[in-house]
Amino acid sequence: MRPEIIEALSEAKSVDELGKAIVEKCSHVFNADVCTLWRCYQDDDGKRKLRLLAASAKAPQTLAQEITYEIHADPDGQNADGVTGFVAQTKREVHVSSFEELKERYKSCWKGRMDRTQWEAEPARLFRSLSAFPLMLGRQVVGVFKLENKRGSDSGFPESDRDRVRMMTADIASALHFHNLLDQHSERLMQVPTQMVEALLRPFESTQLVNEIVKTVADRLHAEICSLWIVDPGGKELSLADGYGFPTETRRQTYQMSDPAVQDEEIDGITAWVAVRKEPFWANSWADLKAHPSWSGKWDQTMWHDRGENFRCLYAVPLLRQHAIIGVLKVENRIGEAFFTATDRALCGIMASLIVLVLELGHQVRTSIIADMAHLVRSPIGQVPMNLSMLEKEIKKAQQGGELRLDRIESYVNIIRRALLSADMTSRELVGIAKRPAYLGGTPERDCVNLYELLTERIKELQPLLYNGIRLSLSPSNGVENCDISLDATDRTRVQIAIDNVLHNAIKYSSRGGEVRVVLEKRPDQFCILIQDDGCGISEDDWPRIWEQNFSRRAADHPQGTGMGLTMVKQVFDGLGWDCEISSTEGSGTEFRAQIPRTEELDDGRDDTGRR
Amino acid sequence: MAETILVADDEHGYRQPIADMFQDAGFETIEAESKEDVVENAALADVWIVDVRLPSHAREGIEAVTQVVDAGKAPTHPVIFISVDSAVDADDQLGALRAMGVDYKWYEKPFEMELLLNAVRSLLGGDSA
Repeated sequence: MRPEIIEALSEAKSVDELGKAIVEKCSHVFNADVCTLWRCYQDDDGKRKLRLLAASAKAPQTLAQEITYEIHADPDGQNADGVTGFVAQTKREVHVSSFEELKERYKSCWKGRMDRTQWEAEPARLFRSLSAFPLMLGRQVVGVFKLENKRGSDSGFPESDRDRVRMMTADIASALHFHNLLDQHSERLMQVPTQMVEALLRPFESTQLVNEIVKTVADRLHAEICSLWIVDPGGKELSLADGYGFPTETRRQTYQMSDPAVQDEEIDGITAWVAVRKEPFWANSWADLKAHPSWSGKWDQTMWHDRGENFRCLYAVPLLRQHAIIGVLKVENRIGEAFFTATDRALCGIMASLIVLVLELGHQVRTSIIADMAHLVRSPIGQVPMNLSMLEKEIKKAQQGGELRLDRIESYVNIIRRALLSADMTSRELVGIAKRPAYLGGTPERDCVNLYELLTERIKELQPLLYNGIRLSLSPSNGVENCDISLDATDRTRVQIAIDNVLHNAIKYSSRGGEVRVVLEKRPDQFCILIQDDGCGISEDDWPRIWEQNFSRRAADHPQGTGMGLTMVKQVFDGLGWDCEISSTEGSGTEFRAQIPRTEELDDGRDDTGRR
Repeated sequence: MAETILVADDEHGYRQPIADMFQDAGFETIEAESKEDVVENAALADVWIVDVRLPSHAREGIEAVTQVVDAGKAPTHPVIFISVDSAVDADDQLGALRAMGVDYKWYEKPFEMELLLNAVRSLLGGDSA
C-alpha cells in the first residue's frame, strides 16, 4: 500500500476522516486546487449511486451539497449521470484540460451540477483541468477519485501524475471497502439492540418471554437452532429453559454444573463447560465439537442422531450477572453460511447481555411488587394484636374498678374491624388482579347466577367487619327474584371480588353511623346495580384519577389500599361488556352504577313476579 | 415534668394504641402522620418512635430522621423505628444514619406493647413518668 494511504488509514477513526486525509494529502502531493473522493452506495430503492465522501480545503462548499450521481447499467456510458457518473459507469478515466473540452467531449452526460457550485458559477473562467479515475476493487467499482486544476499548469495533470494516481487507486479502493465493511458491521450491531429490546419488552408472562427470546435470537443470527439454558438457584444444574428449532423430545435436557477447579474432561458436556469456565465456545464442524475435552455426546444422539451429518456449527456464550453465571445462550447451524461469523458472534454477545438485563429486571420488579403487596396485607393485620392488647387492658381496668372508657373500647374495636376488612379486601383485590380467565381448550361451562343472591351473599360476608355504626342494606326493586345472568365460574369469582371492592370503598369513605345502600333494578334490557354512600365523596383533585392504576385515595384512619381496586373493577366489567360509572359530590357521597345486559336465553317468559 | 414521646405513624391503627399507652403511663405525646410532621415536631420530643414507611410506600421515616439530624437536631436517645419489614431491608439507609452517629432500635410490627413501653422507660433511665 502507498505510504500516503497507509498514513491516512492509520490516523482515521471513521470513513469520513479517512476520506478527508486522503484528499488533503493528494491535493498537496499532486498540486491540485481541488481533490474529491466519491463513494458508491446503494440507496433505499436499490439504485447504485455515488455520493461525495470528501473534498479538499479549496472546495468546502461542495461538501455541503447533497449531490449524488446515479450509476446506470450501460457500460458504454449511455445516459450517464454527469461526468463523475460516467467514470463509475464505464470504469474509464477522464482527462480534460479546459471547460470547453469537458463540455464538448462529454456532452452526452455533462450536467454541470458540481461545476456551478464549485467554481462560483464561473466554471469557464476558473476551471482549467480535470483527471478522474474509477476506484476498482477487483472488477467492482467502489468509488471515483478526482483531481482538478493542476497548479502552475494549463495542460492538466501530466502522465507522471496520472501513473502515480493509478498506483494509489487500488489502495484507496481497499481502504474504502474496509471502512464499508466496518460500517455495515456497526449498522447491524446498532439495529439489533433496538429489535431485541422491542422483543423483550413485549407484554407477556415469563414462560413466553423465554420463548420470544430464543425466537428473536434465532431470527437475528440466522440460526436453525437457538437455546437458552438457566442455572438453578442452587447452582448445581443447568437446564434448558426453552429452545427454538429443537426436537420436542429433547426439551428435558440438563447438564450438571461442576466446580471450576475440575479438569475439562470431568465437566458434563460443552454447554456446561461454557457455564463453568464462563467463556464462549464455538465449533465449526462435528469434528471440532467432538474434539473438545468436555464433549460427552449426552444429547447428541437425540439432537443429531449421533451422526453429526446435520451439524454444521455452534456458538455458545455464558450469561453473566456481575461475574456470576446465570445461564448459557447457544445458537447452532448458521443458515446460509458454514459458520457463525465474527459479526454474528459479536451480536450474540450483545444479546446475551440484554437477556441478562431483562431477566434481572423482571426478577427485581416481581420481587419489589411482591414485597409491596405483602406489606399491604401484613400492615393492617399487625394492628389487630396491638389493639386487642389495649382493648384487654381497658376491660381489665374496668373490671378492677377503674374508669370504663367506652370511647377507647369502641375505638380499638373499630380499628380491629377496619384492619381486618382492609386485609381481606387487599387479598381479594390481589386475587382479582392475578386471576385471568384461563381456558384449557373449548368454551368453559357457564352457569345461571342470580344477581340478587350474589349481592345478598356479599353483604352478609361483610357485615361482621362493619365498624363505626356503618350499615349495609340491600333494596330489591321490582321482580328481582328472577335477575339471572350467565357466567362461568372464573367470571363469577371476579364479579364477586369487584362488587366486594366497590362495597369496601363505600364503607371506607362513609362517616360514622352512615349507610351504604345497594339497589338492584330490573329494566327491560338490562339489570342495574347501584351502590350508594353518604360519605365524604370524591374531591375535584382526585376525580380525574379514580380509575388510574396505583392511584389510592387515603380514607381517614383507614389502612393504605393497593391503588388497584377500581382499575381491577373496570377491567372485570369491561371484559364482560358491562358498563360502569361513578358519580360523586364532595361532602355528600358517591354512587357506583353498573349496567348488565340481560341474557336472552334466560328470559323464559316469566313475568316480573316470577310467574309464567 | 413528664417526658414527651413522638409517635410517628401514618396508620391510625398503630398510632392511636401506642399514643394511648404512653399517655396512660404518664407521658406527653406528640402524634405525627407524615415526614413533614416528624421534621416539624421531633425537636420537641425526648424519644422518637418512627414508622419506617411514612407514608406507606416509601422509607420516609428514616429520611425524616436523617433530615432532622442534618438540621442539627440530633436525638438525645436512640431512635425507635417500627416497621412491618425487617431492619435488613433498610440496611443501606440505616448505615448512613449510623455513620452520622445516630443510634437506633428496631421493632418489627406487631410487637408486644409492654416491650415498647419498657424500652422507652429504659432509655429514659428509669426517671420517666
